[in-house]
Amino acid sequence: MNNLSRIFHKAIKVLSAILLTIYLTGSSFVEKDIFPEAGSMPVYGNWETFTRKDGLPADKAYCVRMDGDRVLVGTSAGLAVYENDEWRTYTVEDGLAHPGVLSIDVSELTGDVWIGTLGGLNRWSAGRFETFTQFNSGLANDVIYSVICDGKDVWVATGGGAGHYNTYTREWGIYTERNAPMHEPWTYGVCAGDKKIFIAAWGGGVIEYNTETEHFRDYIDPDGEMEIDLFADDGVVHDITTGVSHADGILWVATYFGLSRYDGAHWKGYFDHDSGLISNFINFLKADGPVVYLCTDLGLCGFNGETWVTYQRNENDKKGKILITNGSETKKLVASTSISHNFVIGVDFQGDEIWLATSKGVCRGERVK
Amino acid sequence: MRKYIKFLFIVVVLAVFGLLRIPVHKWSRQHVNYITAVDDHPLNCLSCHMYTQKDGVIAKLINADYLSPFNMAVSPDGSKLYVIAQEGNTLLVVGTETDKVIESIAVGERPHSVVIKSDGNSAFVSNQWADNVYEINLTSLKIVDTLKTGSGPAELVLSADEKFLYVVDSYSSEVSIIDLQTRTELKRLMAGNNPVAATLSPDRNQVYVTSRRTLAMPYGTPPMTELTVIDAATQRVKERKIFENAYIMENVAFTPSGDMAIATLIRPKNLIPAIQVERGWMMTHGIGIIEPGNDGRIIQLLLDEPNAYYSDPFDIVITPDGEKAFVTHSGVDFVTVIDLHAIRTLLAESTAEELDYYSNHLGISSRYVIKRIPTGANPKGLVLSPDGKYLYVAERLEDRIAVISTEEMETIKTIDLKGPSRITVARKGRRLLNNAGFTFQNQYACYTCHPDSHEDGLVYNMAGKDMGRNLANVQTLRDIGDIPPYKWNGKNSSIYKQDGMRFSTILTRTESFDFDELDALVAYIVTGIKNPPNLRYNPNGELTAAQKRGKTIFYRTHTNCGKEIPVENRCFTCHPPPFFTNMEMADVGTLSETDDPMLFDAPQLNNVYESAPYLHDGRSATLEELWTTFNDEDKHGVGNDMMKDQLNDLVEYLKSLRDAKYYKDNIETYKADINPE
Amino acid sequence: MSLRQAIFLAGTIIAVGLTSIVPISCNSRSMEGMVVFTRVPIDNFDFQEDIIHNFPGAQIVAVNPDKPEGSEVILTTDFYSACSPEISYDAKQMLFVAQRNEHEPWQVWEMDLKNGTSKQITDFGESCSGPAYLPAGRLVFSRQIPGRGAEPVYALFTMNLDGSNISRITFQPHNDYPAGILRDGRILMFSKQLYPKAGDIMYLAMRPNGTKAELFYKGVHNSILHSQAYETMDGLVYFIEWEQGRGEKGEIVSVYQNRPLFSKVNYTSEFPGSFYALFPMPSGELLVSYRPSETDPVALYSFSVQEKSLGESIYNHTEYHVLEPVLVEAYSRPRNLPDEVDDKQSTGLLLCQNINVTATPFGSELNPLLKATRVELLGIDKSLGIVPVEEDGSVYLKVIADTPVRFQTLDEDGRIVYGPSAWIWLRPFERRGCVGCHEDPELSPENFVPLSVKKQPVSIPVESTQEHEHSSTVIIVE
Repeated sequence: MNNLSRIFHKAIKVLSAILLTIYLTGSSFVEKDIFPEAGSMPVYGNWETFTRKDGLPADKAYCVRMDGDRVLVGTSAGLAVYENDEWRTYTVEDGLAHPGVLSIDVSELTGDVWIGTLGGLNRWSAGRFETFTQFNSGLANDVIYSVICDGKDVWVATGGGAGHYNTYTREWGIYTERNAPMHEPWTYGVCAGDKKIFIAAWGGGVIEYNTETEHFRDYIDPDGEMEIDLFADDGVVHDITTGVSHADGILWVATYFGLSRYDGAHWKGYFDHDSGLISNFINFLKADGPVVYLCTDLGLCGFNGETWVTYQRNENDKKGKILITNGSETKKLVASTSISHNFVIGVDFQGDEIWLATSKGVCRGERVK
Repeated sequence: MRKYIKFLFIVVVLAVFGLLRIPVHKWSRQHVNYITAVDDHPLNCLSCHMYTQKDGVIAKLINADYLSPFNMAVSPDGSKLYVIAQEGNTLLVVGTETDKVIESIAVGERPHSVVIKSDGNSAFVSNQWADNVYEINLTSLKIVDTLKTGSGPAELVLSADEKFLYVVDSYSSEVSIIDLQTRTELKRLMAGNNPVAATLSPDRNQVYVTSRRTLAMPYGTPPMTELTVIDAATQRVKERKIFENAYIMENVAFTPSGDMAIATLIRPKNLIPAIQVERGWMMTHGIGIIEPGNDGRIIQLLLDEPNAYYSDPFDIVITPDGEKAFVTHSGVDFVTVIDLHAIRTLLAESTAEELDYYSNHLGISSRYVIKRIPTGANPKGLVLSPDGKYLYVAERLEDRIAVISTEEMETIKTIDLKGPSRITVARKGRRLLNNAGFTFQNQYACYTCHPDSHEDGLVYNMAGKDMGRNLANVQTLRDIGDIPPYKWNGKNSSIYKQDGMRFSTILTRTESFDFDELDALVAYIVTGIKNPPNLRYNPNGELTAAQKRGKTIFYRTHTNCGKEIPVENRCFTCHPPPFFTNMEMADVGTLSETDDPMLFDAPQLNNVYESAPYLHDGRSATLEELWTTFNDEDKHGVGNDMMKDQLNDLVEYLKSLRDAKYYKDNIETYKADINPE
Repeated sequence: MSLRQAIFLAGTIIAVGLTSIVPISCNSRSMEGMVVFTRVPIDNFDFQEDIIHNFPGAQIVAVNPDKPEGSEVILTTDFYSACSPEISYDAKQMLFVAQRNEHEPWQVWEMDLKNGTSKQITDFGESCSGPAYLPAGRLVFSRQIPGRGAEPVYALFTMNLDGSNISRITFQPHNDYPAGILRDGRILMFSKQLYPKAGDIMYLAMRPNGTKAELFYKGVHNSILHSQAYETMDGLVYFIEWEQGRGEKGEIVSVYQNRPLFSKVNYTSEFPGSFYALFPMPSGELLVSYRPSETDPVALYSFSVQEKSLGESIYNHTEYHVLEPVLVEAYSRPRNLPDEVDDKQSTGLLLCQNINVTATPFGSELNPLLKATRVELLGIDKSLGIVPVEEDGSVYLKVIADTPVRFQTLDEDGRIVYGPSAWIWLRPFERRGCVGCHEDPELSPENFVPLSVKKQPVSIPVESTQEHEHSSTVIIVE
């Protein structure tokens, strides 16, 4: 029965993709010329939304992480796992530290899933939940905004500082304004790249930790201005940072006041008024290769340094909106399907799929070819 | 005149001796009575003052260096047996036809296991106290390489293509995967708690890893012990099979067809008031079965009988025809023979409810146990000859290998490994500690709750005078000879008292040790049980930055606010080196409602990292919780002023604490720590 | 004095010393290897179901089993009756019961086997029987005590071998009688319920202080356990059973000490005659008292367990039955079990893990609608109280010590779900646990913290319900 259902589901998806393509282009199916404006940026469509009705434990989703054949979603009511077209929920009864799951990462080395919650950190390994809290371990704070795995090391951004856990030595490190160039202990995001750890520190810009020298340095907004970015491209656009992601040698920094890109030598800022960025209010971002996806309060933006592709939902007709921006030119398209909600909080993408966590459901988009 | 003086001198000396004889005898009697807590112990000074010597000439004279065979492997052609001599720190090569030790190869500290490559040309030996694996060329009998591992490498498994070596890291609770081509450790996978054994499935796709200690469970709930299943293709943990109410899963073996994987285990009764031994009220022993082809069904069956217990099941092997399994019981000196056909029948005809019932049934073993074969002292590792005709049994405390005919199910010969021929007092004590014969109906040995002479990580309801009272976290036996009193409330002034009559009344519930036995047991506990080296947190005495910061906190005299900490509330007051205990009683505010009002004996902190859970009743799952959760009133040292990173540093320092000898050897350093001025 | 003189003097002294010792030694006798037994005048032998084995006019006799002819020695010539010989661990002493004169109560005596002198150990107004050595210089025996009616009953007592420190250890309305000492140190006893109705004879095992009494073995209904039971080094316990339905004859059976309830082996089912007593020999053979037919006296034989065959008669007598054989040979002492009983206390503690765990076979569940939620304790004459159990079925009781009680479980409406149970008693400060009520005796407990032990125990008798009548609703299962 399940197989039949799966085949049927796939068939519907394929058909929908074809119809979407026809609808979007208004012409016959031509693989390479569907979105010439997007250039090398992938365009996603055929959005499918999942809510409580579909088996999610809650509509409010905080994060999403793709892991091979399954998708892990952090919601306000537990961890939801999508596998074989079915959702399964894990809650506190199963060993989750707290129902509010804010961040998820998977160790490439071991396959262990690290889960940051509002009440501690979990290692979920082949079905076993191990809980670390500020009481039973060296974890800095129980509110885990971000977690990443870097080889044998796990890093967390918490409400009480950045934390480091060496899974081999079991040693915990805590980095706050007491021992790192931070403004205050509140950290929002963390990522790894080029043997460095980057921490999005509230009010402290970006903190870089060199794992080889074990030294810190910070990147703050040189103009120190909290309302506007006084001098363009002088550094990170704002000291209040909400997320960091590193890929292809580029560090992307999310703030509530715009986006920053740092190539190791130069900073560049992006704002809603001077780029294709749909909103300066960026909740989260994730980069892979040349592409970064930005979760904003007005939808999802993809950017590869040249082209912006934005996905929004028209709440009136429930249809999707795609904006493709190159320089000052923006092409608007209407899609039959849309992301589940414009307040996007989490994103992950692999292959031809992209998954979003929004304030009202989780959605999956498929790359339109 | 001079002649008279000489005479007078002799008279005076005799008179002095005569006069002193009575008070000296009286003092000796009182002294011995105090130490032994009985008034009829023979006034034998040697008991305490010779047999318990740890160092020096006397210690050398009265003790001996035994081999202690532990685990084994057999060459592909069956002509050689490779025996790990756990305390000899050697790999013994034994000719199976000559019954002679051909070669003794020095290996690392406290070797644990050996595995042979299929071509028979090389072996890998895990050195549990050195955190490495030796590769040995079996032609030249030389060590050719050293591979770094996680902490406490135990069982070794070669992948199907023999390109990878799976190393069970028993202390760090991981499995290291070593690439034998690059000679590097690829990764470490989280295993169960204190894993020790592993085996490759017959299809060579999975590695099963058993562990000994329970996973961290909510306080007061039953133990749950993990069998970790590693997918050999992805080299990731595929599944974690949980054995409820079981622990000490020492070894595991697959049937040749792969229809069952069988592990040895113990089913403890730590949550039930310890009011009796009868009817398996304290410990039961058996096997855990996984049926991979039956949705991975897990079954537990006992090997005990209603009035006889077969304690401390250790190793298990299965004959090539898949019909028989052999299990060593190191606590009762037996090998049990199990009819696997009968097991299969039982599993096939029983409902899940019935099988659950059988997991506590002491009579069910008569369905499948077909023989009990007696062995020498403390049988441990087993290995079958390649043709399955002979079973080799490592008789650890006999320095001997027994050879059993699997057909006849009888011992046909023994192979003397040529350890010391005499049995020292301490060796006798070690046999006693490992033997369940001193518990009613052989239900458990000291070793059962103190595996490796440490502790089993469980909290027992010792049911003081009332059943819900007196929860006791098992304490280690390592290096405790010099730190009386004993028991968490310091009620026992000596090991003699601890293990004397009261011990038999409330714990073993059979005849107490006689004085010779008690002498031997005390001699072994005092002289023979060392802490393993703290390679994980302090391999060479050089502290990490965090540990150094933590040390400053440990020895601090003022709070973060600059307020002086009362002397009695400083860490090092109650926990001074070298044992990190002042052996005094104190109130640290952790008495529970179920305890009788009393003070706490300050526990030693050497190797404290490996003694979770903490506090007398084990309520503190981690070191951190001691101060984050159970020190509201700052009675257990002043801690509430600390920042979280300071606490982390303190914990890192505590984890760095090594064996007492290290601090004794560096006495000036720690004196300076205590009195920095 | 020269050296030569000194040596001569010393030699003389030694020689004189030795010559004075030799006659002394010759005055004593060695009983090692002799077989001692009770011989009962045929006319006085009235074998009944009764488990008390005091035979009027009986004598204790020793023979050399290798040369029985002419080696016969009557050891109890000073007594009108004597029986139940029991050899000490070092084979130097012998306990027995005897009456000096007819109509006197039977008392326990100990004989020095070297010189044949006996000393009286007990001196009661009532008869004793079945003495057995316990470790640490004590003995156990059965003694008459007043029963509920006119008939006295027997209970077990222990005391020091010098007659001091007597302690009663059984307290049930049964006839209790020692049957042997197991190697693990427990006393094995015959026990036959007398009240409220007569029961079958069973073997119960318990610690020498009377704690932790439990069923060791019982046969099919109406079977009779008759002889002393002996445990051999290979863990078998041999005894004689008159099994109901197998003809009126006693048969040699063994059970495996490790699993006595389900390991019975019958060695003499093919024999036409009846066995009355046995004793295991170091050779593996048994000394047996066997009566080939009703017309023959009971005689002493050897018996091969391996071959299941009877050897030559060792001793027989036309006027006597030969019973209760024992070999005079040292044997290993059973374990000396520690004593937790505190006579200063007046209560014991009892924990039942889950009163709804019963020995009900799978597939034949009790009425699932009847879940017991309370347990009632029954004394001899009255209810001692009804106690609600915890959610997990556990109950934790502080029971008045040395008092027989029975249990029955009740549902919410007071209907009896299970019971009444067999009698049990607790010794002062004894702490005892049960997995369930009348549960499978081979079941070990599940590992969990019973809710009941998180509270104080309920005292029994419960004050408010002391005078209540027994619940009188329908008994579902007994």
